[in-house]
Amino acid sequence: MIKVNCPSCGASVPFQSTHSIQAVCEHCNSTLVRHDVNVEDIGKMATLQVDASPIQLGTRGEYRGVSFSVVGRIQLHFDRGIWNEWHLTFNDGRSGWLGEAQGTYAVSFLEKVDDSIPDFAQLNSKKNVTLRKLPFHVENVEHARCIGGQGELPFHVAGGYDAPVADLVGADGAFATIDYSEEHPLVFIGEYVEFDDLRLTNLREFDSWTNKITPKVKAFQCISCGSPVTQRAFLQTISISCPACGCVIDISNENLKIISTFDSRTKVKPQIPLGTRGTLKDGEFEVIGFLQRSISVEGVEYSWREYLLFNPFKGFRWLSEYNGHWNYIRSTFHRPKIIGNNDVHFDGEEFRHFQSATATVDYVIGEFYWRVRFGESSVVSDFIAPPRMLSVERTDNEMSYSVGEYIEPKELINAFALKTPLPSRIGVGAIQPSPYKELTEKVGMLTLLFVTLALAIQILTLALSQDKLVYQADMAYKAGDAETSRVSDIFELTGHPSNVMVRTNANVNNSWIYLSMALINDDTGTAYDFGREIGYYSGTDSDGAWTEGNRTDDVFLPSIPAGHYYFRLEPEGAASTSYSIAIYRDVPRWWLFLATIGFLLLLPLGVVWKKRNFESLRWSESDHPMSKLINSEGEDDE
Amino acid sequence: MIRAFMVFGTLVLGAFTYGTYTGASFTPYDELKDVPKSIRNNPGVYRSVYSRLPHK
Repeated sequence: MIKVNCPSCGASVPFQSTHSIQAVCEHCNSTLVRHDVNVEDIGKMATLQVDASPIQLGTRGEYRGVSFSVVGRIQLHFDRGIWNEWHLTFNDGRSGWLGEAQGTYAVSFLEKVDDSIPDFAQLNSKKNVTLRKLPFHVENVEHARCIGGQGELPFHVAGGYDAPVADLVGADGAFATIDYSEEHPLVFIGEYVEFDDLRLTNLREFDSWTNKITPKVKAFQCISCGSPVTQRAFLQTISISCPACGCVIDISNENLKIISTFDSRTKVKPQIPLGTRGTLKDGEFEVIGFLQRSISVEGVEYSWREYLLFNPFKGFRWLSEYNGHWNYIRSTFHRPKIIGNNDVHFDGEEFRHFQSATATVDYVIGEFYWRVRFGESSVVSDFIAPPRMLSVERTDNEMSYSVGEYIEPKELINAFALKTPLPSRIGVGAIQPSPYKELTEKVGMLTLLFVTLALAIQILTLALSQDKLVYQADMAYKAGDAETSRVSDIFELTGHPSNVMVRTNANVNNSWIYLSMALINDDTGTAYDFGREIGYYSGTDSDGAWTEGNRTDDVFLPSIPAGHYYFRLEPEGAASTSYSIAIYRDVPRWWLFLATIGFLLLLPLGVVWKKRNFESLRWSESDHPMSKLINSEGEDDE
Repeated sequence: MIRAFMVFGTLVLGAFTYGTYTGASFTPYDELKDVPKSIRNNPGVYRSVYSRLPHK
């Protein structure tokens, strides 16, 4: 660090960064330019506008593991308010910039590029630019004006200058700025960063925020009706709605003007009152704006409500409510990749196209960071991967991206300590988490486990069963015999109580034979009585040849204990015929396995049906309702 | 519901294991105790009581 004495007032002025050639004396506001060991006073620095940036000179932080200090800044004015570029000195000796506007942060570094830089006049939001072999898309083109500087800076900043700049966005949050204020454009390349990721310390303190006092940073009278209007969002909003007459006033500068007027008789009451604070997923936020938007689909109006939330450190968030379903939304500078069928890949996930429609602003109260107008419209495309939604909003001038996450109403009630209940949920929300998703996965895993076990048991049974022929005989039945009953020789059944299969084969043709059978345990005298009919018929008719019945029959007796057995047969029939009988012990079968699989699939199939029903409801209000898909698939098949 | 399915699945698997082991079947039959030994010598003295299956 080098310290010099201010030539104007004598105060000590430090140069912390070797990159800094200019410093502004904190005492007398003189601009000092360093020439080797001497400093030159080139006059007073223009006074910076009061802003609500949480960053100040001396703020420290960390970027990609390297600590930095904020040693200076330039302040620029652009169409949507104030934008700061904070000069950073890193511990590893680098000099960088932290761009900050309306709660959005980007770290960038001056880079020398060999790429061809397009002229400023050629830039528009459809332009693609390659920088260091990386593709960038022009996001915003601004005729900004540098108001002035503060602290140490690596270049001369006099009393302000015009700064034509273009902001570009690349893949995965990459960010670039091309500064056309010098003869050769300066290229800064970096990335968008989250406030929390910078681990900033020594920030400005906002008493009114910390002490939860409604801030009155700016209060004025409505230029339409004269009612008092108070700005809540620490100078970070540029339009505000008069609570009395409903007109929207541009407050981006001292010359207040009416942007649009609303029908003051139309009142929509926010479910979460303006000024209410609540701690949500990533910090404490205050509701500062409310609007209602609507779309018209096939003549039917669908409206939803949006709440603008503000935190002086983290910027803006949104809550949207439709049919009692709430989404918590924030802007994103990460861009999706289109993967076909209108679907996109974003943040490691596939998002399916849900709906595209032109949304119109119906009603506004509170304040906003853009000039909101009654009736203004934009094309909104939503892509969903429940519980997240990616929304792309297009107007003539810009395209913005946001990511929403479903939030349970009870979570909101707790977060904002609401005393009135929120509207009941109707139907299924676009990104409402399916209660069947996790259940399906768990039931699926269990089903797989059970089916595997059943299969293992079945394979074990097949491997260990005897499947043994224990008796076989050929016999004959003569119609008209007085006594037809027969008994077999004694045979042995071994092993655990198991089944016995009796297979009979009768040489019947257009006839039948009925066999009264008994398997008798010679040891215990227990008899198992049963009867089987075998019939086989064939012929021809107008449809051709036909057959009915079967000459072979299998029957299974369950749980027959081991022992010595014999078989008794008593046939009767219409005609004499020969027949055979074979008795098998412990024959493996498949029906019980298949029945078990059927039982095990009952619940999973029910869960799958419920899940499909839930998804059908979810998609019913989308551009791709499932019933429509089914119908169109059916039509295709035809 | 998961717990209920675990219980249900375990019961079904248990029933399957028991049924497979004992050779479960739906064949209708009658079980008679202490039939006389004389059947082997004179099968005609035994008259089957089985009458569930109608026949022609």
